[in-house]
Amino acid sequence: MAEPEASLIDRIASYDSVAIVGLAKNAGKTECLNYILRGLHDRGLTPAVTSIGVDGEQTDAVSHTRKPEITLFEETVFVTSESFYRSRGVTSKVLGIGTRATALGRLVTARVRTHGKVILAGPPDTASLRRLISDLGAYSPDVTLVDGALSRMSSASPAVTDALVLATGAAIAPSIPEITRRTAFVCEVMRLPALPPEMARRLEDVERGVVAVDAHGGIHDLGLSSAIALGSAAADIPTDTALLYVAGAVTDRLLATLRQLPQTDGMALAMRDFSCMFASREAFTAFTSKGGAVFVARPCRVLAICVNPTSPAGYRVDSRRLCDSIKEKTGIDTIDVRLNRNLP
Amino acid sequence: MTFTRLTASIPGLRHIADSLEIMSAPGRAHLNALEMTADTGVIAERLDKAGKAVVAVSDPAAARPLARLLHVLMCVNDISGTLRRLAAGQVTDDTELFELKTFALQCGDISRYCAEMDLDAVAIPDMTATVAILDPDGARIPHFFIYDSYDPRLAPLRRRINACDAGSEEGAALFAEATAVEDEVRCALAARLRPLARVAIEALAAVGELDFLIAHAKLAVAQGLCRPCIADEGDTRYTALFNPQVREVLRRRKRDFQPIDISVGEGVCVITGANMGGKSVILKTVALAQTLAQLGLYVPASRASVTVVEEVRVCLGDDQSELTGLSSFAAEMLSIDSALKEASSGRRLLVLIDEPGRTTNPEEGRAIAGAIISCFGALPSITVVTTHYSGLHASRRLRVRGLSNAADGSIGSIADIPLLMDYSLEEDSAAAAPREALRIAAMLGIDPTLIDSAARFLTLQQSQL
Repeated sequence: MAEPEASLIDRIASYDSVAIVGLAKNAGKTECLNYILRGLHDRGLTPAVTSIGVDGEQTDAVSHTRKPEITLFEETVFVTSESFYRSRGVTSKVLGIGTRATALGRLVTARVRTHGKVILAGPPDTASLRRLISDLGAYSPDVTLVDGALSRMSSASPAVTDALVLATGAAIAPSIPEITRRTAFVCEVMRLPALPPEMARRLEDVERGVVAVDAHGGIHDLGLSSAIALGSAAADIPTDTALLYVAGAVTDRLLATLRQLPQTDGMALAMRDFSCMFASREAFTAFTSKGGAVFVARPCRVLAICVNPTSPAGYRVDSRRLCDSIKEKTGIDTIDVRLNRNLP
Repeated sequence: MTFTRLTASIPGLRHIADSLEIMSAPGRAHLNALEMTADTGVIAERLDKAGKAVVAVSDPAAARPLARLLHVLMCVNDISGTLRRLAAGQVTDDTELFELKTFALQCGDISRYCAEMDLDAVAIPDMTATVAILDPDGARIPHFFIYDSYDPRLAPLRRRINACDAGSEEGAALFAEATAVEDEVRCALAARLRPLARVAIEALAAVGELDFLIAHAKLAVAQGLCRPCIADEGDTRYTALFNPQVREVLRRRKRDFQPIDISVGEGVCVITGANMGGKSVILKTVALAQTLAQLGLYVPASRASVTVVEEVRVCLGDDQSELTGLSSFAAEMLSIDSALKEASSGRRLLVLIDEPGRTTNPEEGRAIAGAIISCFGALPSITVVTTHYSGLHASRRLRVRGLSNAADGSIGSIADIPLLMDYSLEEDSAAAAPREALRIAAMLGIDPTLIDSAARFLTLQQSQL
């Protein structure tokens, strides 16, 4: 049991940046992050930690008060807002202060001197987050961890971080089969096959709308401002289209439109990365079961799944069975960090 | 009046502000607070500093320290809030002390690079006393926390915290104890730093001024601005005066701005000339150059001799606003009236009035223009009026040379007009305004039916007179 833990921490440390994202509030993201931070510390590794924005659902928007809950160890570099910095439970050295103000003040970068708890904060948008991760490189962390906020899967997009750890659990559904189904669907989307690199590179410049790729690799702009307009322009999709690349969001409506088009039989669909997928599991399954293949330009690595078997509603599912069920369905290492933490 | 307030009334001043590559918030604050003055001594002092910066940025040998200096300036934050709190005896937190330390270190770098550039326009106050307090270990690195060396109790406490299990009660108690010691240290630091706050406030202002001066010098070199001679009396004279904003627009269209020579003095100077002859641009540029000179900045000309005034008033007559309920005529009259009252009080103004009375019927309009020239002519101000009206008598008349007679045949499109227009000014003895409106209209490609009809009306009017 201790072995997968060791390999998970080592695998995390082998990437430059890893996002930790929760499938729902109370899915156990914070525990998962704390588990990883402790694991890194135990191996003598020094991470940098930040977050995408401030997880609003965990913060009192009026008083901005919140209990610090991320435990940081010596030498860890962390980023938070000025106001959260004041309520830190660590002794730390200020290394830099950003110029852009967030709702909670500017961002402070500091290095921990005595361990303790902090509240993390970070840039509110993915472009700034990407820049911050790159800037944190100046402090030579072994890995930069991003506390990805619920509802902002984009923080875990391969455009921002190199890999991710998914937190799931009883908070998202009341039964093991349903938790497994929902988690497996997210994993399936996250692990959609990648387009050939050459094709992905050519499609990277498409910023909006939908383009059709024919069997010979020729790219045809359908002249749509967004994928929403596809419904009315469906007749314009060339019959020799092998792949439709959607630059924006893939929605239920888009999938339903494609499903009902006669010429889309055997046509593949591609998007930038998993964070562009906004369609429901039902719509996605309906599309793929009709033979539609889905690809991403930038694949994503899911390093592990952390589960919290306890729901905030009070019920609890069997941790071991849940881990086994998810692992079996997804093939991804699945751990209950609470059980693992107590191992010698 | 401050630079910020002047931008509301002086056309083109906002463009200058936007063209200045100021790096820091204190630099921007210096510009915004810059006061226009009629004190020739103050202006000369500012121009001396500006001149030193121009020499420094023009020196190829200074390019390297200049690049480094600009980089440091770019990293300077506005810490005036922290400094005010320190000066008031308040205790500052770690992020504030970090910023103060960073700034104090930056001041040292800035002084060094200035010395390397031989730039002594602004003396940066010595902040080493502040550095010494906030850098007890002498690391000279911009980071800060309550260092162990501030209090002998800190190091052992912190060792014990780290030896405890994270999240343990014992650790929490030790952390609270350490926090209490840190708070004592912060209070002591605030007390030691308080007497230095004044120097830091001066240093922040000095850095802002330096940032501004370098941005100004770079602009002056890039745009070919000149240092004006400042005088208490006599005519204001410009050689090769140009409007930076209009020139920039023309350059984007691959065309040149034709600089003009102009001198204005006490009394009223009337400028006439063809439509599209640049009269309004001349007025705006004279207003801009006067303002820049009295802010202590370089002016857009190859040579300039500027007589100080107490205020610059620009009446453009295009302030029509549906929101204030004023017609363009009402707005123009109110603006001229305000300038007249100000000038009548004995203050010496530069008043620039663009085509007064053009927005009402021509007979009354001409009468109003005549009255304005007469009223302002009796005052100690410098007044420049542009007009299309004939028969107006002023102490001085200038006329835009305009299109030569030879030009007619070569006009192919609207774009050709500026190419064939001579924007320079000449002394004009005749009181009659040039009549080129129909020619210009024809060149603009206006329907000949309209032009011919207008010509017949003109003949009819003249025969009736």
